[in-house]
Amino acid sequence: MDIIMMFAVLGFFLFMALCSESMLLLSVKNKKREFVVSIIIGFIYGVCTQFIPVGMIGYATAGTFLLINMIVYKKIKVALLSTVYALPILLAFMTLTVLQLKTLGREPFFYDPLGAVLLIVNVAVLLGATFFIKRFLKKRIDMNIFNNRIIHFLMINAGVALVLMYMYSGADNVLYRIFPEGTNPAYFAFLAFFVSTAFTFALILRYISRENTLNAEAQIHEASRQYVGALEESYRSLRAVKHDYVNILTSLKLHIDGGDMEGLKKYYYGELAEINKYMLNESRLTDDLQNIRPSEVKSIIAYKCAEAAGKGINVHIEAREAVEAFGVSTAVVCRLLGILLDNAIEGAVETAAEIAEPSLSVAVFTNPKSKTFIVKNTWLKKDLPLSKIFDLGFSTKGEGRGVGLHTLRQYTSKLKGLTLSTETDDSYFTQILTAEDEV
Amino acid sequence: MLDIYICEDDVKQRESTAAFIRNYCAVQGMDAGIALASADPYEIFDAYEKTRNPALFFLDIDLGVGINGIELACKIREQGRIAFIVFFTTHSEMTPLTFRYKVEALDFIVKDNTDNIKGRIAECVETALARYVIKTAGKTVKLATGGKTILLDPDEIILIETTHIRHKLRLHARNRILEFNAEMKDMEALFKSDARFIRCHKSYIINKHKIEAVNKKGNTVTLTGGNECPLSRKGKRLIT
Repeated sequence: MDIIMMFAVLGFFLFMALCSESMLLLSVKNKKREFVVSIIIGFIYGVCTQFIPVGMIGYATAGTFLLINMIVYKKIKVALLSTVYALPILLAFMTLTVLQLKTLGREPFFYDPLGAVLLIVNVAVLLGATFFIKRFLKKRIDMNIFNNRIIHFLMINAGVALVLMYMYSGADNVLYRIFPEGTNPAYFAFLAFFVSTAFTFALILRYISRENTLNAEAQIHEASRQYVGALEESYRSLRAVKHDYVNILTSLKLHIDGGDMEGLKKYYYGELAEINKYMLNESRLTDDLQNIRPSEVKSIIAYKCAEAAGKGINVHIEAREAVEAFGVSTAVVCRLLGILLDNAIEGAVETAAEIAEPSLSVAVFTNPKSKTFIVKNTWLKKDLPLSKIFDLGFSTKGEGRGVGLHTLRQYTSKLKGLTLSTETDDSYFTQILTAEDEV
Repeated sequence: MLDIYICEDDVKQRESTAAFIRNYCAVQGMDAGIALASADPYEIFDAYEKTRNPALFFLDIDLGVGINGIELACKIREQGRIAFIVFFTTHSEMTPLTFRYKVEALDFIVKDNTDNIKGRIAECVETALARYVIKTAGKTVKLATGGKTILLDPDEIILIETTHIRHKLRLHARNRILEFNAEMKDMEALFKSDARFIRCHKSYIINKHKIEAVNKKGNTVTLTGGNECPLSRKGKRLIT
């Protein structure tokens, strides 16, 4: 039984370690750092077990985790997330150690100095092993399969099952000790720690995933609503123009009849030019958008452009060719466009104080095998390397603002059929998103 | 010799443009001349297909027959030769981003502003000639990626790295980051003759001239723009 358990734990551990590869917000290129962090944690944990009463171990560990992660990553959100990922891995280590102690014929407790030694050895050996397994797998299979939400849920289930199995297998005689005698509160604490960790983990993940889908839906819904509103508005203004049209013709006629060339000129260039400009822009905005068939995409562009115009930004839209569908899902395209446009609006608004006319241009066109979206905005050239703009949490505006571009990079790094290029010069920031027709 | 083509359906405008260019090239002693001025886009394309010369096109957007100016420009780009494209456009047809990014147009001239059309045409001819000289001097590298060609100055390239997706690479240059579909070994072959570019790691090709610092123990290098690259054992030898 114990041997089977040991294999189950090992399997779970491997699974966890591979899933942690795709930790939502961590920079994936720093695998080495994760590795070192885990070893330090394992070591501290081993030391902790020697000095802290059993009931407190769980909380002490969680605290230590958080502290170390915060020191290493310097971001609370990232630290929390990586803690959430790391705790089940630690559970696996603990279970494994207890089982090993039992097989060796010793009392399965962490008070045993051998327990601490075993734990540290386990951490070092297993993390080392997964490090190499990851490298081995990376060459052979697509690591994207570990980035699936279903896989994450499976992982949680496996974790809960593991805890249950651990308890019923009697490895620590927890159940026997609680129910027949039921005196030691430390065991309750220990049990509660196991269960609550598993549940918290499950809840946090569920929350994250639900929030994401809700956000996306709400965004698309809001965009459609705004689009309909914009259409109605433009229809109303068209009616107003029709009405004005008669008046304009009448005043033109008056000028002509009176032979008043000067007055005619003044009227034409002064008043009519303004109206013309307005009508031209207004109708073009909606005209061009008709060419984009997927209505979610159409509405998100219309919505964000209206928002930008409302903030005093000069908006220009180019969509002369019919755009039907993309190789990737429309929802993904919407999400990415939303981020690109939000970012562009933010950038353009910043320039309002410096440059007379902040502007935002959006273009959509087709290529032989792909569709291209271009979002170009005025920006204040930052005295910073371009590559830094995509780093997590980077923003010139401080904490928590740079998440958008980072998410964007994560998407384009992990999805087939999407590429994102960036160009900058002194006054403009241009993003070019290409979606291939077939993935 | 730079061939100049004009495709414009309005006879008066076509002729005055052609006359101006002819005159301008002769006066300035430029190595350029009108190859064809026509209203028919197919005629222009056929003529271009037959020659091997680099060309400069002045295209009207609305040509009134079959294809429009942008479609003609696409066909020209498909040939993959050195060609510069300038659009004549009215204010309402103006789509600068599409011109620039879809067919890499050199410029566009708005017909509504009648005063400085000639000045703008002259500017375009000059820019095209200047760029043509640079391009033929072999100072650019050509990245062919899924039907699109990107021309880059190798001096500007800092590094090329892999992404999580196979065949998708990311190139960092001074003012731009490009993602495109290609393989690392093709890139290596492309830069083979250029000693500046070395493959310092399985996932990185870097420009030696952009190295700012070799970090402690020599395991990574920092490049211009703050990019940090790991070095493989082979890469370490290449760098020293």
